Amino acid sequence: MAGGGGGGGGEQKSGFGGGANVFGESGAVDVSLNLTALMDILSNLLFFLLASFGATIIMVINGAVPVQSADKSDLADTKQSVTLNVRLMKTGFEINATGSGQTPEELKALGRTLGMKGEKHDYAALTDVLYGIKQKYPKSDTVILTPDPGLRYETLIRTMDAAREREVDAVGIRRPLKLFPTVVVSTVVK
Amino acid sequence: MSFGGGHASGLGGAFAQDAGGADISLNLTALMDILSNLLFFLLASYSAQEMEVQAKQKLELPTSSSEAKVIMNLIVTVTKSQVLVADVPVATVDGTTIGGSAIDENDRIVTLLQRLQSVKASREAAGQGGLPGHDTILLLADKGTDSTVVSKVLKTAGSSGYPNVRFGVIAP
Repeated sequence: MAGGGGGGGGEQKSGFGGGANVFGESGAVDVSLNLTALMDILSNLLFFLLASFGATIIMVINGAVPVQSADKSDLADTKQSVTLNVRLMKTGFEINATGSGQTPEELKALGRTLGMKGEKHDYAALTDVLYGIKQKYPKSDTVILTPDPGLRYETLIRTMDAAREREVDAVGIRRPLKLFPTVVVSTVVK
Repeated sequence: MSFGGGHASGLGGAFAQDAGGADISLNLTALMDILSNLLFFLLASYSAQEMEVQAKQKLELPTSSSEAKVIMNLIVTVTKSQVLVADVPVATVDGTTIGGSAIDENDRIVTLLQRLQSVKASREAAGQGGLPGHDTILLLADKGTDSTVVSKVLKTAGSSGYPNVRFGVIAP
């Protein structure tokens, strides 16, 4: 593409034709290309691509559903990790922890119920609570979400966002810290 | 864009009488290079398929701060009125109620279960059973969908050999 000097004027020496070549021989034919029409086409293409570009960005959140498995368990099995159960209710969140490396008293102490903030769920408070648990059990990464019937799917996604990461200060620089990026979506057993 | 070069330039031509017939010629080669590069990278990152899904079914995905890039898997779509597997309707949705399909004793949507099992079986028969993402679905659900419907869809997917789910969201 970078032919140089190819656009427009008939007076100028074109990079495609005129001037000396790499061997020092003078070119015989002076070719000038009119790129105006091509410019129009490219500009139009670019405009429509840019106009539709913002609507196409789809991201994903990785998750799983609980399945019976003889050789694999989601239950945390070290002293430095717990598995969190967050129940999404119409009135807020209910947080419980499970793990095989802690005493029942330790796990019970992690339990919490969070109310609503106005008419919305308090996602910031949820993130703060999960951050506290993450600091105490840094190898934890799994949260089991159990939505009550009647909640919107959007609430589930926002809860996943709140549980995934939080911005922290590290020597004056703000950076995201992973909290509970592994999400399992479960349902209430009736 | 008619101000380019040419033997009688558009820009020059428009003011030809005032300028006393001055013929201005612009060298557009560098601009052409920039536009071509922009076009190339835009086309390379353009994902028309997702946009088509979103536009066709009037689906409003929830927004999320997730930065994980989409990887194409078997797409299960839940709109305000239908449940579809790879664009094939398998059940209807009306608020919290699922129609057009029976719900079994384990709270699974029977037609969805059959469709997912059939897709899985045909993929395994084609030798694609062990490929990465063979047990994963991409769930595109409307943000207003009731959690009861989402739970049933997820439970059905898990039972039919798709325990891993990618929840499709859009960047804010």
